Amino acid sequence: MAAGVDAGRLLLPRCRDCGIVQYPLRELCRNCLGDTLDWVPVSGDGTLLSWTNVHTSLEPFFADHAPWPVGRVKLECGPLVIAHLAIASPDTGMRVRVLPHRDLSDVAVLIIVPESDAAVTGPVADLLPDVP
Amino acid sequence: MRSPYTGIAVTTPVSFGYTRYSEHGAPWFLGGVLRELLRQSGINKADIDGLAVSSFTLAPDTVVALTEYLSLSPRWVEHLPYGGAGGVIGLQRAARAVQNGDADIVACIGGDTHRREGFRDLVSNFSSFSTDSVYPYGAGGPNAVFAMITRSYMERTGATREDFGRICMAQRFNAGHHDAALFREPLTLEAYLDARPVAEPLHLFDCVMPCAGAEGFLVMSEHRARSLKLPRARIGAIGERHNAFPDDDVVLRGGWALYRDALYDAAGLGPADMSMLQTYDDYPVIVMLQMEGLGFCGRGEAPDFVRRTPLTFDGGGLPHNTCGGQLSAGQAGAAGGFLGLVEAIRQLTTPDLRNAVPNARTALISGYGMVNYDRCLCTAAAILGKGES
Repeated sequence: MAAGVDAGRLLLPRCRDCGIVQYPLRELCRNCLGDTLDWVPVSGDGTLLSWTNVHTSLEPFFADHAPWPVGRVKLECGPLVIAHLAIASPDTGMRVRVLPHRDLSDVAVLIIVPESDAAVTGPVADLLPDVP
Repeated sequence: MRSPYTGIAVTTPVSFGYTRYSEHGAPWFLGGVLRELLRQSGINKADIDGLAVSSFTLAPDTVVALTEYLSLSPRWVEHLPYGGAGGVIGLQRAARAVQNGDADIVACIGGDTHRREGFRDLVSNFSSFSTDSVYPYGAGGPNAVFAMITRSYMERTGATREDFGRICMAQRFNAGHHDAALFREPLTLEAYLDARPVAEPLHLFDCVMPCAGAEGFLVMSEHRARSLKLPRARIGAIGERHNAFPDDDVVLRGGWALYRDALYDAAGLGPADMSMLQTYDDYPVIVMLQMEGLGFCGRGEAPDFVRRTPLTFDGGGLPHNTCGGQLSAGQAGAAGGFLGLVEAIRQLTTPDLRNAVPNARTALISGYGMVNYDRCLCTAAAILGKGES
């Protein structure tokens, strides 16, 4: 599982000793090596560092839906995440929000949306069940 | 100050078995290199008492299983999980083993098979972080990660697709003079620019083609190489660094900057003294990061450097990836981390190459390997010189 989903809030492990938020997921704190990590709600706000459209995918779903948009975000709470990109006109440096969703396979995935609008639009919407 | 690599010879460059797909297993390629190493050096198999191996598709086996498969009884073995840095790091480990008397003759081999469905298995299970946090997002493999690095580099430095194309075209020219390369036909700028997108801004000719193949060389004492009458290269210096600059959010440098000065000091040489540069060319932007990190130009200056510096083997500028690199030879898994090193040894030991660098005396070889999450973690570099005959 890539991240916790709790009513649309982003949950990530945070070290009880030094407070560092962890991603990708670990069983130990990357900073102080403490092994007491708590899943806590964190802000998904961040900055879009880069992005691409994947035209050649190794998985049939993404190959069928190519080009598939992906981005890389620096979260305000610390970590760097790679996630599905649901922004029509991405621009490096723009303010974005990373939110967790459950996809068609009921797996938690991260999706990058505009800071002002949490709705998942564009090709990434095909990944989700019951998108209004 | 690290002790120098005095008295060590690097010999017998072998490139073996390059093909798009293969139903052979990894040991067929790794053992094929060993057979060629023995044939070309005249050494008996029983005299190989050290074995260093880099391979992804050898799994679940390691170098240990390979000793039984090939019926070797080495007193020193090393498995090299460093990907694109595996060749240089294998050279370092082997040289120290010989210097310290732990082995007399070490065969260093990197290679992989490539089955039709094999690449998906390799990419989807490449690392724990990648399986959890990269692969599910479009399953673009390293292309997606390096596309985002390439975009950042272009935005920060002003690099254009034409600049990357210069690297790819020069390497393809070099490959035209190296028969083992899978792609040898010339690449025009027009064809480069018109290629289909893979993950923007990466297009087809920015990406290596996965294939099967293997590379290898021998490390022994200069005394032994002399008695065997083997042409040899010597080691000027080697450096490595892993997970350098972990707090860089945007990946625009690797570990080379941290040991570049020590490397040149130990060799008593500088970038301008290098007859050739062999970089790890999984993508052309990474070539630029190595040119900058190893001091051939300043940070962010590689686009200008490649505009004004011929990169072909015979262009009089900086001969670069003189066998065509992975972008032309193909990426045979872990062999990709040996390709530039084996080519440098070949240039320094083999007369009458079709792609011979004129008056080749020295070579800088750089490695970059293992994209664990959003960047490669391993960097290594070595300076080799032509051995005295």
